Amino acid sequence: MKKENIINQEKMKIAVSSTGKDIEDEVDSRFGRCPYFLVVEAKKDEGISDVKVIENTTSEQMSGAGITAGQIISNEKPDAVITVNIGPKALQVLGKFGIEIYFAKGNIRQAVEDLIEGKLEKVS
Amino acid sequence: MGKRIAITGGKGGTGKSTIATAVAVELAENNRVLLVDADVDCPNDHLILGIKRNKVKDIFQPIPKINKKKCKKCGRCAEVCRESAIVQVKGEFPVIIPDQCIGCSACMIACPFGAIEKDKKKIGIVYNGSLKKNLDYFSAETELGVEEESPIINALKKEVERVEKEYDYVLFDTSPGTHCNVISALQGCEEAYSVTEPTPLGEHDGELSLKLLDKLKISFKIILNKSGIGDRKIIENLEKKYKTEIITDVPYSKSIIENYSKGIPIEGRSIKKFAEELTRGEVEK
Repeated sequence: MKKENIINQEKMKIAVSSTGKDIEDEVDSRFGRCPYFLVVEAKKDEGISDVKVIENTTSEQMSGAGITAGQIISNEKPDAVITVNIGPKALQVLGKFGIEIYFAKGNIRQAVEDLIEGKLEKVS
Repeated sequence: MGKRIAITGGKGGTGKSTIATAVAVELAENNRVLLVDADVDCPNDHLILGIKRNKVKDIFQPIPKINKKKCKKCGRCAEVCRESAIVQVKGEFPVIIPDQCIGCSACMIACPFGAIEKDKKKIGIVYNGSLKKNLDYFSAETELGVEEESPIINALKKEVERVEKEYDYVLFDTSPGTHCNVISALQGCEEAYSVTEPTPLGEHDGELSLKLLDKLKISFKIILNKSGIGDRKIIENLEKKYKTEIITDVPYSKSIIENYSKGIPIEGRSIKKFAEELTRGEVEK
Protein backbone atom coordinates (compact mmCIF):
# COMPACT_ATOMS: atom_id res chain seq x y z
CA MET A 1 0.00 0.00 0.00
CA LYS A 2 2.76 2.42 1.00
CA LYS A 3 4.37 4.08 -1.95
CA GLU A 4 8.08 3.65 -1.34
CA ASN A 5 9.21 6.78 -3.03
CA ILE A 6 6.84 9.09 -4.79
CA ILE A 7 9.72 11.41 -5.61
CA ASN A 8 10.82 9.32 -8.57
CA GLN A 9 7.38 9.18 -10.05
CA GLU A 10 6.73 10.92 -13.35
CA LYS A 11 5.27 14.22 -12.37
CA MET A 12 4.27 15.13 -8.85
CA LYS A 13 1.28 17.17 -7.82
CA ILE A 14 2.04 19.06 -4.62
CA ALA A 15 -0.38 21.20 -2.62
CA VAL A 16 1.19 23.89 -0.43
CA SER A 17 -0.42 26.10 2.25
CA SER A 18 0.55 29.60 1.14
CA THR A 19 0.62 33.12 2.52
CA GLY A 20 -0.16 34.49 -0.96
CA LYS A 21 -0.89 33.70 -4.59
CA ASP A 22 2.67 33.49 -5.82
CA ILE A 23 5.23 30.69 -5.89
CA GLU A 24 7.69 33.12 -4.27
CA ASP A 25 5.41 33.57 -1.25
CA GLU A 26 5.98 31.61 1.92
CA VAL A 27 4.61 28.35 3.20
CA ASP A 28 1.78 29.41 5.53
CA SER A 29 2.17 28.13 9.07
CA ARG A 30 -1.41 26.85 9.25
CA PHE A 31 -2.88 24.26 6.95
CA GLY A 32 -6.60 24.58 7.74
CA ARG A 33 -6.70 28.34 7.92
CA CYS A 34 -4.12 29.52 5.42
CA PRO A 35 -5.42 32.14 2.94
CA TYR A 36 -4.37 30.28 -0.24
CA PHE A 37 -3.28 26.92 -1.47
CA LEU A 38 -0.88 26.57 -4.37
CA VAL A 39 -1.20 23.33 -6.28
CA VAL A 40 2.11 22.86 -8.03
CA GLU A 41 3.13 20.32 -10.63
CA ALA A 42 6.79 19.48 -10.60
CA LYS A 43 9.22 16.82 -11.70
CA LYS A 44 12.69 15.94 -10.57
CA ASP A 45 15.40 17.54 -12.74
CA GLU A 46 12.80 19.55 -14.65
CA GLY A 47 11.44 21.72 -11.85
CA ILE A 48 8.06 23.38 -11.58
CA SER A 49 5.80 23.20 -14.62
CA ASP A 50 2.42 24.45 -13.39
CA VAL A 51 1.02 26.50 -10.48
CA LYS A 52 -2.65 26.72 -9.65
CA VAL A 53 -3.98 29.10 -6.98
CA ILE A 54 -6.90 28.04 -4.81
CA GLU A 55 -8.44 30.43 -2.34
CA ASN A 56 -9.04 28.79 1.03
CA THR A 57 -12.67 29.46 1.79
CA THR A 58 -12.39 27.97 5.26
CA SER A 59 -10.26 30.67 6.81
CA GLU A 60 -13.26 32.33 8.45
CA GLN A 61 -15.14 29.14 9.28
CA MET A 62 -15.86 28.78 13.01
CA SER A 63 -14.81 25.18 13.38
CA GLY A 64 -14.01 22.19 11.22
CA ALA A 65 -11.75 24.30 9.00
CA GLY A 66 -9.24 21.47 8.86
CA ILE A 67 -11.82 19.13 7.41
CA THR A 68 -13.01 21.54 4.75
CA ALA A 69 -9.44 22.42 3.83
CA GLY A 70 -8.67 18.70 3.69
CA GLN A 71 -11.61 18.26 1.36
CA ILE A 72 -10.56 21.13 -0.91
CA ILE A 73 -7.09 19.65 -1.20
CA SER A 74 -8.27 16.04 -1.55
CA ASN A 75 -10.42 17.14 -4.48
CA GLU A 76 -7.25 18.18 -6.30
CA LYS A 77 -5.85 14.67 -5.81
CA PRO A 78 -2.30 15.73 -5.03
CA ASP A 79 0.47 13.26 -4.24
CA ALA A 80 1.76 15.35 -1.37
CA VAL A 81 1.09 18.36 0.84
CA ILE A 82 3.70 20.80 2.14
CA THR A 83 2.80 22.83 5.22
CA VAL A 84 4.21 23.91 8.59
CA ASN A 85 1.50 22.75 10.99
CA ILE A 86 -1.48 20.52 10.41
CA GLY A 87 -4.36 19.79 12.78
CA PRO A 88 -5.72 16.34 13.62
CA LYS A 89 -8.89 16.68 11.55
CA ALA A 90 -7.13 17.73 8.34
CA LEU A 91 -4.62 14.96 8.97
CA GLN A 92 -7.43 12.41 9.16
CA VAL A 93 -8.93 13.58 5.86
CA LEU A 94 -5.66 13.65 3.94
CA GLY A 95 -4.68 10.32 5.46
CA LYS A 96 -7.89 8.69 4.24
CA PHE A 97 -7.04 9.72 0.69
CA GLY A 98 -3.44 8.56 0.96
CA ILE A 99 -1.91 12.01 0.56
CA GLU A 100 1.60 12.31 1.99
CA ILE A 101 2.50 15.24 4.23
CA TYR A 102 5.83 17.07 4.42
CA PHE A 103 6.87 19.93 6.66
CA ALA A 104 8.84 22.90 5.33
CA LYS A 105 9.13 26.61 6.08
CA GLY A 106 9.98 29.67 4.01
CA ASN A 107 9.93 30.18 0.25
CA ILE A 108 7.48 27.90 -1.56
CA ARG A 109 9.59 27.42 -4.71
CA GLN A 110 12.48 26.31 -2.52
CA ALA A 111 10.25 23.96 -0.50
CA VAL A 112 8.86 22.33 -3.65
CA GLU A 113 12.34 21.93 -5.13
CA ASP A 114 13.58 20.42 -1.89
CA LEU A 115 10.70 17.97 -1.98
CA ILE A 116 11.24 16.79 -5.54
CA GLU A 117 14.92 16.39 -4.83
CA GLY A 118 14.07 14.19 -1.87
CA LYS A 119 15.38 16.58 0.77
CA LEU A 120 12.20 16.84 2.85
CA GLU A 121 11.28 14.33 5.47
CA LYS A 122 7.86 12.75 5.23
CA VAL A 123 5.62 13.33 8.23
CA SER A 124 2.85 10.93 7.34
CA MET B 1 -42.33 11.37 41.63
CA GLY B 2 -39.39 13.38 42.93
CA LYS B 3 -39.55 17.10 42.53
CA ARG B 4 -36.81 18.20 40.17
CA ILE B 5 -34.82 21.16 41.41
CA ALA B 6 -31.83 22.73 39.67
CA ILE B 7 -28.82 24.22 41.41
CA THR B 8 -27.20 26.32 38.71
CA GLY B 9 -25.24 29.50 38.20
CA GLY B 10 -23.29 31.51 35.70
CA LYS B 11 -19.85 31.55 37.23
CA GLY B 12 -17.54 28.60 37.63
CA GLY B 13 -16.20 28.10 41.15
CA THR B 14 -19.00 30.09 42.71
CA GLY B 15 -20.21 27.22 44.89
CA LYS B 16 -22.93 25.34 43.00
CA SER B 17 -21.59 21.91 43.89
CA THR B 18 -20.66 22.95 47.43
CA ILE B 19 -24.20 24.10 48.04
CA ALA B 20 -25.93 21.32 46.08
CA THR B 21 -24.11 18.62 48.06
CA ALA B 22 -24.73 20.44 51.36
CA VAL B 23 -28.44 20.87 50.79
CA ALA B 24 -28.72 17.27 49.56
CA VAL B 25 -27.27 16.05 52.86
CA GLU B 26 -29.53 18.37 54.84
CA LEU B 27 -32.68 17.37 52.93
CA ALA B 28 -31.86 13.69 53.29
CA GLU B 29 -32.40 13.97 57.05
CA ASN B 30 -36.16 13.76 56.46
CA ASN B 31 -36.58 13.08 52.74
CA ARG B 32 -35.46 10.68 50.09
CA VAL B 33 -33.02 12.60 47.90
CA LEU B 34 -31.36 11.88 44.57
CA LEU B 35 -28.43 14.17 43.76
CA VAL B 36 -27.68 14.35 40.04
CA ASP B 37 -24.30 15.76 39.10
CA ALA B 38 -25.01 17.12 35.63
CA ASP B 39 -21.69 18.95 35.33
CA VAL B 40 -20.61 16.36 32.81
CA ASP B 41 -17.28 18.03 32.02
CA CYS B 42 -16.03 17.88 35.58
CA PRO B 43 -18.44 15.95 37.76
CA ASN B 44 -17.10 16.05 41.31
CA ASP B 45 -19.99 15.95 43.75
CA HIS B 46 -18.88 12.40 44.57
CA LEU B 47 -15.50 13.79 45.67
CA ILE B 48 -17.11 16.41 47.90
CA LEU B 49 -19.30 13.76 49.51
CA GLY B 50 -16.81 10.92 49.48
CA ILE B 51 -19.10 8.70 47.41
CA LYS B 52 -17.56 5.77 45.59
CA ARG B 53 -19.18 5.87 42.17
CA ASN B 54 -20.10 2.81 40.16
CA LYS B 55 -20.30 2.69 36.40
CA VAL B 56 -23.87 2.17 35.22
CA LYS B 57 -23.35 2.20 31.48
CA ASP B 58 -21.50 3.68 28.54
CA ILE B 59 -23.23 6.40 26.53
CA PHE B 60 -23.09 6.03 22.78
CA GLN B 61 -23.91 8.37 19.96
CA PRO B 62 -24.89 7.21 16.48
CA ILE B 63 -22.37 7.83 13.72
CA PRO B 64 -22.77 6.98 10.04
CA LYS B 65 -21.08 4.10 8.31
CA ILE B 66 -21.01 3.90 4.52
CA ASN B 67 -22.24 0.70 2.91
CA LYS B 68 -19.96 0.64 -0.13
CA LYS B 69 -22.19 -1.83 -1.94
CA LYS B 70 -25.08 0.61 -1.97
CA CYS B 71 -23.21 3.96 -2.13
CA LYS B 72 -23.28 5.68 -5.53
CA LYS B 73 -20.82 8.42 -4.48
CA CYS B 74 -23.42 11.13 -5.10
CA GLY B 75 -22.19 13.33 -2.25
CA ARG B 76 -25.62 14.10 -0.80
CA CYS B 77 -24.51 13.03 2.70
CA ALA B 78 -21.56 15.43 2.71
CA GLU B 79 -23.83 18.24 1.47
CA VAL B 80 -26.32 17.89 4.32
CA CYS B 81 -23.72 17.46 7.06
CA ARG B 82 -23.59 20.76 8.92
CA GLU B 83 -20.63 19.65 11.00
CA SER B 84 -18.42 18.88 7.98
CA ALA B 85 -18.05 15.38 9.39
CA ILE B 86 -18.37 13.79 5.94
CA VAL B 87 -15.86 14.50 3.22
CA GLN B 88 -16.71 13.72 -0.36
CA VAL B 89 -14.14 13.85 -3.11
CA LYS B 90 -15.36 13.43 -6.67
CA GLY B 91 -15.35 9.81 -7.72
CA GLU B 92 -14.45 8.51 -4.26
CA PHE B 93 -16.50 7.03 -1.45
CA PRO B 94 -17.45 9.57 1.23
CA VAL B 95 -15.15 9.64 4.25
CA ILE B 96 -16.52 9.96 7.77
CA ILE B 97 -14.62 11.91 10.44
CA PRO B 98 -16.01 10.39 13.66
CA ASP B 99 -14.54 13.09 15.97
CA GLN B 100 -16.51 15.76 14.15
CA CYS B 101 -19.85 13.90 14.04
CA ILE B 102 -22.47 14.97 16.59
CA GLY B 103 -24.88 12.15 15.73
CA CYS B 104 -27.67 14.20 14.15
CA SER B 105 -28.30 11.42 11.57
CA ALA B 106 -29.19 13.89 8.78
CA CYS B 107 -26.94 11.96 6.38
CA MET B 108 -28.88 8.76 7.01
CA ILE B 109 -32.15 10.49 6.18
CA ALA B 110 -30.75 12.30 3.14
CA CYS B 111 -29.04 9.36 1.43
CA PRO B 112 -31.18 8.44 -1.60
CA PHE B 113 -29.77 4.91 -1.72
CA GLY B 114 -30.08 3.86 1.91
CA ALA B 115 -26.34 3.39 1.90
CA ILE B 116 -25.66 4.84 5.33
CA GLU B 117 -25.83 2.48 8.25
CA LYS B 118 -25.75 3.24 11.95
CA ASP B 119 -22.51 2.75 13.79
CA LYS B 120 -21.79 4.16 17.24
CA LYS B 121 -19.10 5.94 19.17
CA LYS B 122 -18.68 6.23 22.92
CA ILE B 123 -19.21 9.76 24.22
CA GLY B 124 -19.54 9.31 27.98
CA ILE B 125 -20.28 7.18 31.01
CA VAL B 126 -23.18 7.20 33.48
CA TYR B 127 -22.31 6.59 37.14
CA ASN B 128 -24.28 6.09 40.31
CA GLY B 129 -23.56 5.77 43.99
CA SER B 130 -24.97 6.20 47.44
CA LEU B 131 -23.85 8.21 50.48
CA LYS B 132 -26.28 6.96 53.09
CA LYS B 133 -29.84 5.87 53.50
CA ASN B 134 -32.03 8.40 51.70
CA LEU B 135 -29.22 9.96 49.69
CA ASP B 136 -28.32 8.50 46.32
CA TYR B 137 -26.28 9.91 43.52
CA PHE B 138 -26.19 9.86 39.73
CA SER B 139 -23.78 11.52 37.34
CA ALA B 140 -22.28 11.30 33.89
CA GLU B 141 -18.85 12.13 32.56
CA THR B 142 -17.95 13.20 29.03
CA GLU B 143 -15.24 11.41 27.07
CA LEU B 144 -12.30 13.66 26.25
CA GLY B 145 -12.68 15.60 23.03
CA VAL B 146 -16.47 15.30 22.73
CA GLU B 147 -17.89 18.71 21.90
CA GLU B 148 -21.63 18.16 21.95
CA GLU B 149 -22.74 17.34 25.49
CA SER B 150 -26.53 17.49 25.39
CA PRO B 151 -26.79 13.80 24.42
CA ILE B 152 -24.79 12.96 27.55
CA ILE B 153 -27.15 14.93 29.79
CA ASN B 154 -30.13 13.36 28.05
CA ALA B 155 -28.75 9.87 28.59
CA LEU B 156 -28.19 10.76 32.26
CA LYS B 157 -31.75 12.07 32.55
CA LYS B 158 -33.08 8.84 31.07
CA GLU B 159 -31.37 6.87 33.83
CA VAL B 160 -32.73 9.30 36.42
CA GLU B 161 -36.26 8.90 35.05
CA ARG B 162 -36.17 5.17 35.73
CA VAL B 163 -35.66 5.68 39.45
CA GLU B 164 -36.95 9.13 40.31
CA LYS B 165 -40.33 7.95 41.57
CA GLU B 166 -38.51 6.50 44.56
CA TYR B 167 -37.40 9.94 45.73
CA ASP B 168 -38.99 13.06 47.17
CA TYR B 169 -36.40 15.40 45.67
CA VAL B 170 -34.16 15.16 42.63
CA LEU B 171 -31.45 17.83 42.72
CA PHE B 172 -29.72 18.65 39.44
CA ASP B 173 -26.31 20.24 39.97
CA THR B 174 -25.55 21.83 36.57
CA SER B 175 -22.40 23.03 34.83
CA PRO B 176 -21.71 26.75 35.10
CA GLY B 177 -22.80 29.08 32.34
CA THR B 178 -25.57 29.06 29.80
CA HIS B 179 -24.56 26.64 27.07
CA CYS B 180 -26.28 23.52 25.71
CA ASN B 181 -25.49 21.10 28.48
CA VAL B 182 -26.75 23.55 31.13
CA ILE B 183 -29.96 24.06 29.15
CA SER B 184 -30.45 20.30 28.80
CA ALA B 185 -30.00 19.86 32.54
CA LEU B 186 -32.44 22.69 33.36
CA GLN B 187 -35.17 21.44 31.06
CA GLY B 188 -37.70 19.53 33.09
CA CYS B 189 -36.75 21.15 36.41
CA GLU B 190 -39.66 22.70 38.27
CA GLU B 191 -37.60 25.36 39.95
CA ALA B 192 -34.04 26.58 39.95
CA TYR B 193 -31.67 28.19 42.41
CA SER B 194 -28.91 30.26 40.89
CA VAL B 195 -25.79 30.40 43.03
CA THR B 196 -23.65 33.49 42.80
CA GLU B 197 -21.26 35.62 44.82
CA PRO B 198 -21.09 39.35 45.62
CA THR B 199 -18.28 40.13 43.19
CA PRO B 200 -18.28 41.77 39.73
CA LEU B 201 -17.82 38.33 38.17
CA GLY B 202 -20.66 36.97 40.25
CA GLU B 203 -22.83 39.84 39.11
CA HIS B 204 -22.04 39.49 35.43
CA ASP B 205 -22.15 35.70 35.17
CA GLY B 206 -25.01 35.48 37.64
CA GLU B 207 -27.12 37.75 35.47
CA LEU B 208 -26.51 35.51 32.45
CA SER B 209 -27.80 32.58 34.46
CA LEU B 210 -30.93 34.51 35.51
CA LYS B 211 -31.57 35.60 31.93
CA LEU B 212 -31.39 32.00 30.80
CA LEU B 213 -33.80 30.83 33.50
CA ASP B 214 -36.15 33.63 32.54
CA LYS B 215 -36.01 32.55 28.92
CA LEU B 216 -36.64 28.92 29.82
CA LYS B 217 -39.57 30.03 32.00
CA ILE B 218 -38.28 28.19 35.03
CA SER B 219 -39.05 29.96 38.31
CA PHE B 220 -35.86 30.89 40.09
CA LYS B 221 -34.33 32.40 43.19
CA ILE B 222 -30.81 33.42 44.12
CA ILE B 223 -28.44 31.85 46.62
CA LEU B 224 -25.67 34.19 47.67
CA ASN B 225 -22.49 32.31 48.42
CA LYS B 226 -19.31 33.83 49.87
CA SER B 227 -21.49 36.39 51.56
CA GLY B 228 -19.47 38.97 53.47
CA ILE B 229 -16.87 39.59 50.79
CA GLY B 230 -17.29 42.06 47.94
CA ASP B 231 -20.46 44.12 47.71
CA ARG B 232 -23.87 42.57 48.42
CA LYS B 233 -25.61 45.55 46.77
CA ILE B 234 -24.69 44.46 43.24
CA ILE B 235 -26.54 41.18 43.73
CA GLU B 236 -29.43 43.00 45.42
CA ASN B 237 -29.72 45.01 42.20
CA LEU B 238 -30.12 41.77 40.26
CA GLU B 239 -32.70 40.65 42.81
CA LYS B 240 -34.75 43.77 42.07
CA LYS B 241 -34.20 43.73 38.33
CA TYR B 242 -35.40 40.14 37.98
CA LYS B 243 -38.10 40.48 40.66
CA THR B 244 -36.69 37.57 42.59
CA GLU B 245 -35.27 36.96 46.02
CA ILE B 246 -31.97 36.09 47.65
CA ILE B 247 -33.18 33.22 49.79
CA THR B 248 -30.04 32.61 51.81
CA ASP B 249 -26.57 33.98 52.42
CA VAL B 250 -23.87 31.36 52.79
CA PRO B 251 -21.06 33.09 54.66
CA TYR B 252 -17.52 33.23 53.36
CA SER B 253 -15.45 31.42 55.93
CA LYS B 254 -12.18 29.62 56.15
CA SER B 255 -13.73 26.63 57.92
CA ILE B 256 -16.07 26.02 54.96
CA ILE B 257 -13.11 25.90 52.61
CA GLU B 258 -11.14 23.66 54.98
CA ASN B 259 -14.03 21.23 55.21
CA TYR B 260 -14.52 21.37 51.46
CA SER B 261 -10.89 20.38 50.94
CA LYS B 262 -11.40 17.39 53.27
CA GLY B 263 -14.56 16.27 51.51
CA ILE B 264 -16.90 17.34 54.30
CA PRO B 265 -20.12 18.99 53.10
CA ILE B 266 -20.87 22.34 54.68
CA GLU B 267 -23.70 22.68 57.14
CA GLY B 268 -25.22 25.45 59.15
CA ARG B 269 -28.05 27.91 59.32
CA SER B 270 -27.77 29.14 55.73
CA ILE B 271 -28.07 25.62 54.29
CA LYS B 272 -30.94 24.76 56.67
CA LYS B 273 -32.70 27.86 55.40
CA PHE B 274 -32.32 26.67 51.84
CA ALA B 275 -33.63 23.21 52.73
CA GLU B 276 -36.62 24.79 54.45
CA GLU B 277 -37.30 26.85 51.37
CA LEU B 278 -37.29 23.68 49.26
CA THR B 279 -39.62 21.78 51.56
CA ARG B 280 -42.00 24.67 52.12
CA GLY B 281 -43.58 24.63 48.71
CA GLU B 282 -43.58 26.31 45.37
CA VAL B 283 -41.20 29.07 44.44
CA GLU B 284 -43.18 32.05 43.31
CA LYS B 285 -41.82 34.22 40.60
